[in-house]
Amino acid sequence: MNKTARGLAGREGSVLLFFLAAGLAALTVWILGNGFYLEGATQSWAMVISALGADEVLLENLTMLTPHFPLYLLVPFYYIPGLDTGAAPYLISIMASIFLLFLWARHLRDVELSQFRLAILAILIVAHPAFLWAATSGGHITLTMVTFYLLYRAAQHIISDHDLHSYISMAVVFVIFFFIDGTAVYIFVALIPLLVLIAPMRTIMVSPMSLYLIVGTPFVFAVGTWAYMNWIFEGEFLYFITNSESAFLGGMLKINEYPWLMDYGGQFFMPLLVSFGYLLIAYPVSLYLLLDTADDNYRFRATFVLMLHPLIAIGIATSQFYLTHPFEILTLVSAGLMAELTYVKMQTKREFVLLVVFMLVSIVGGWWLFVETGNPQMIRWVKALQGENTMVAVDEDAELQLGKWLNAHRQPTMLYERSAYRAIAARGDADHLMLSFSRNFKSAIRERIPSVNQLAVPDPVTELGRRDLLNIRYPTLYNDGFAGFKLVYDKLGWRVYRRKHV
Amino acid sequence: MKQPQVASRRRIGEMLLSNGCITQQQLDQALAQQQSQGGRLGDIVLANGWVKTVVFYDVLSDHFRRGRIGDLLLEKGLIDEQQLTELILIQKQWGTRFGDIVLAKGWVKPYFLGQVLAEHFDKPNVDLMKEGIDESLLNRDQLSTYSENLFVPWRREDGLLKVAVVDVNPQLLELVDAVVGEPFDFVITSKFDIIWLLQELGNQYYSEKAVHQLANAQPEYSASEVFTTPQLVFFFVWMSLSLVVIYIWPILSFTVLIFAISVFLLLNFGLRMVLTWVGGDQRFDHVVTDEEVAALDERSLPMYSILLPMYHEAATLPNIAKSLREIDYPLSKLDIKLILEQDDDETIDKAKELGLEGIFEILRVPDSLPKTKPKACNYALHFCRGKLATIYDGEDAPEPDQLKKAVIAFRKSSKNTAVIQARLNYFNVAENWLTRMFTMEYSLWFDFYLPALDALRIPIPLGGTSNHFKMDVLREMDGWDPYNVTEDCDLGVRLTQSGYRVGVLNSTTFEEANTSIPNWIRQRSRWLKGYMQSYLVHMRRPIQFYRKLGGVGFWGFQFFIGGTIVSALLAPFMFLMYFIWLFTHTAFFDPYFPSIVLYITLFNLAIANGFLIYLFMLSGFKRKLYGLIPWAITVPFYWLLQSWAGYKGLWQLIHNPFYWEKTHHGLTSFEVSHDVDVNKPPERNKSSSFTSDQFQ
Repeated sequence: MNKTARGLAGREGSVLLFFLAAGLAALTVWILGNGFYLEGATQSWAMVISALGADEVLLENLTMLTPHFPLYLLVPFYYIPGLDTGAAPYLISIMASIFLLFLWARHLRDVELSQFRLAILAILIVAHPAFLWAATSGGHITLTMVTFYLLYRAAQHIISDHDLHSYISMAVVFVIFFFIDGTAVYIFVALIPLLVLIAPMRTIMVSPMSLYLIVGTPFVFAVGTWAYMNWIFEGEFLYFITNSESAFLGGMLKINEYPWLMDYGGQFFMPLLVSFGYLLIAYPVSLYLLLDTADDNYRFRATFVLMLHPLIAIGIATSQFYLTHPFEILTLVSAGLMAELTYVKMQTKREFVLLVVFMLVSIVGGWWLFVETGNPQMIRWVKALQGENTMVAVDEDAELQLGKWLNAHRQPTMLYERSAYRAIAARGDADHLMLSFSRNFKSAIRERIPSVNQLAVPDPVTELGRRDLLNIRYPTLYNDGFAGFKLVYDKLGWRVYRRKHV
Repeated sequence: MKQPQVASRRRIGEMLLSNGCITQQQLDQALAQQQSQGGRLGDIVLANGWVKTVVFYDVLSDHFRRGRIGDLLLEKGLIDEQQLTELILIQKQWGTRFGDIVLAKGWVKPYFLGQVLAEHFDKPNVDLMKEGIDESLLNRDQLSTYSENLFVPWRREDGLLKVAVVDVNPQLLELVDAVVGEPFDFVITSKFDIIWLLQELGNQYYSEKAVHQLANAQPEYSASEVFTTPQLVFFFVWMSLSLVVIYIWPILSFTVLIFAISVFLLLNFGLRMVLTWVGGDQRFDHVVTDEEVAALDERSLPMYSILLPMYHEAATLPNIAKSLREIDYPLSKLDIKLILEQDDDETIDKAKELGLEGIFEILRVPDSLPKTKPKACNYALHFCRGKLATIYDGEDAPEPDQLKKAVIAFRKSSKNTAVIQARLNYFNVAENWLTRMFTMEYSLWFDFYLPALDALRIPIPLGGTSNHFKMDVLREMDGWDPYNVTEDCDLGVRLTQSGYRVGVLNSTTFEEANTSIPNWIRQRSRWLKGYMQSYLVHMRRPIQFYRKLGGVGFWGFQFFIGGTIVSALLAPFMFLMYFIWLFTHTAFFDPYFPSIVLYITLFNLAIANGFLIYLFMLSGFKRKLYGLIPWAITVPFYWLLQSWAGYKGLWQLIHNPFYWEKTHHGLTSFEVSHDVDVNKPPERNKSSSFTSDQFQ
């Protein structure tokens, strides 16, 4: 095998990957050092330590309201001394992004490019804000990107090879997708009309239904399995859709918090058009690839699908009031682009230079769009990246204060983990906490006055407090406490009541 | 008449002398003997053992041969000019002898060809059935050699042994020389005379070999003993201990049991997923390409034996005969054995009535127990002349290029490749629900699992037909186990243990799928019983078995063969427990399903079963039988049928282990074909009638 054919998998490639990994890690440390944290990451970690810290470690402790796979990945960190901190989700993000780059590097073996050119491409991919955001923000979006990348690889293989592995890959990837990210449903539905561009014409003419069954059946089984597990553990098949706190609902019940949903929620074509505009700004390289591959039927179809698929998914997800920001899906274009580059011809200098130019423009456009339209978390991330301290003053952080106090005053405490997840994360573990999935909690909440040592409850006038299970069950608890309990903590909208004799 | 004889004598003597075969003194002695006692000079020289027969005819070849075979056939009016021209062309293409070609084409009857050959070699043409042989000349230990090479010691004339042969070539003469161990000369006869005569005289020998060869030579591999004593002791101890443990710790025991079952089923599912992924690789569809087949030089093709064991299958005989005539292989290199049971007059008569070409040979298997297909095949092995051999069933329709592909596959594969399994599928796919399920199952099995087993070096349970063997290895393995009702599965495992490889081939033989559930249950119960037999046989010495196969092979066998049995037997219990819980919401099972067990069983129930259904869909998709795909949803009902068959097989394993459960063929109303399209309306088979492969 010649040097150029080794792609990024050779020694030079490994060195580059190592530096990219180190860079991403350093960047994450830098961002976290500047006070950035992702709500979702904290929530995931709190869920994991809550579930694993329970008296009985059960799958259902993780609840059925959020995809489980990212949580499973966090489980090992709970048992590794030194890594059992809230930084674990960020570590997972970095590892997943490195895995994606590694996978890409392997697939790039087929593209005969020099190491130098491949290094440039890798740097340009990583420098895009969408990739950086995914890799360093601690969310599970990097896992989604890996899945999306594999989805596109499968689609490309179906177009070019029409081999059975591609169909199986696509079907299995969709299953994994569902257990990683709630957007999977929209990504799946959006691909349905596009399958006619991917699959061989003969199969479509003879039996389009078979095609959909082969690609879609495992996904349907996955959704059915999830519904069944909801029925087993929560008593309702559609619990993961009907429960107001379900991550599968996206922004549906909080439309007024998201400008995107306020503007386009319930519509399909407008968000589609607008997101097309987003795509043109953040990924003009997609348009270039479309033009570049116009003379190659196979590649053109793949590029066309890459461009259209996320847009349709954004349209559908917005029409269902799920999507809170187009970048939740648009970020995946980076992964699709990586898959695309493993197939695109760029041997001539002109082709390569044009590609680099368009990728550079994409980076500039992406950053501009990120800064201009990002949601509050994205904005905080950008600021943290710029070195601005985004940390909320410790004294003003209610959950952090509560968590520290609970850590200092360890007592069996009843609290609703969905309200207090940041406090649990700040406490460091869930030992002796009575959380809503535990039998003790379920039994205690049936009593007029729960037989517990201590309860923590948020102010019911706040958004957080309104959804708190203890407030719903005991509406006067925050203000009046229970007979036989004394107020031992009252700070920044959180109160802790403790039984007097304890 | 006298003058030419004198000239001939002089010339023979001179030629032998000039070639240094005999000395002047020997020639003089021979001439003196001829003058005093009469007889032919050649016979005298041979009888004295001064020169070996093969050398004798090598030197005197031109002397004896009268005319060319083609000319003689034409001269006698057995073929016409056009046929002769075609014959010459075919000979160039196939590289075989005129006699073989005219027989294969059915242009000349074997008897007449014998006459021509006799004339050609200037030897008597004897009818062995009328001019019986001197049985005292037969060496009973050499019966197989006689039947495999088509010669038999006939009589002793003037002190010289006369051996009846069908054809004359140096290799045969050398072999005869080595076998008879004394000076001999030959006479010409028809191959059917030799086959029938040897069957008449050697029935007991061939039968004995067919039934007991494996049990005598390799008793550890014979299923004639269902449970060995150590196995019975193990079962007894195990069951006793289990009862004690259950008595002391009832809940824990059942929890551990359910856990073990769940993990086993989970791993079983995992293996099947891996096999589907590995077997789904495109390279297995191109083991042999059409280009390679087209580029094949037919002259280089070996003799191929095709075994057709049949019993009461008169109706399917014309179909398989037609399919074999359509085979893209030099007909003269085919050695087709119609293996019929002696009491099956119906099929024997049908075979005679069809007037099959000379490449079809009827073998009548004498009545003896066990009356199984492997026994019949073992019997036929003694008459096979091919370097390669395969088996087809009466209702089979192999793809025409299958034999050529098998030859190429052997050439491309490693030297230790002993057998290559072609794919099996069904032509009556869309006949009913059962045939659809069966087709998907077979597609999954042969198109995915077997190639993957080959790639992963896990023992391959061979299919019942279309397995292409190297004949020498097959004989070395002592053939099939006549006591095992899935002798094919057993042989595959034995071959792997002996260091041979079992390969796969991208060519399909289409069969008739069972159309009726009772018939299907009969067939499947036999298969599962056979799997149990095979499992018991090979697990007699598990440690040795592990050493021979290695970890992957051993565990692959446990899960692939053992898993098939266990899944079938356990499925009803698991489903029953589930449905009782589902409909009654009883808490009775709760103690037996702690969280970890619950999660695994949930996974098995939802994800594993879902994906197993999906695998069925994939099989239809790969075969481009798109109409089958939606039907895959109903496969759980098919699994229940499998369980039914599993319990029937288990019952029979204990009560009637060697009974060959009857499977009726010819129930289909579809035309036998290797051109299958599930979306095409079926062509109805007007000549359909009931038959069965009912070995007992």
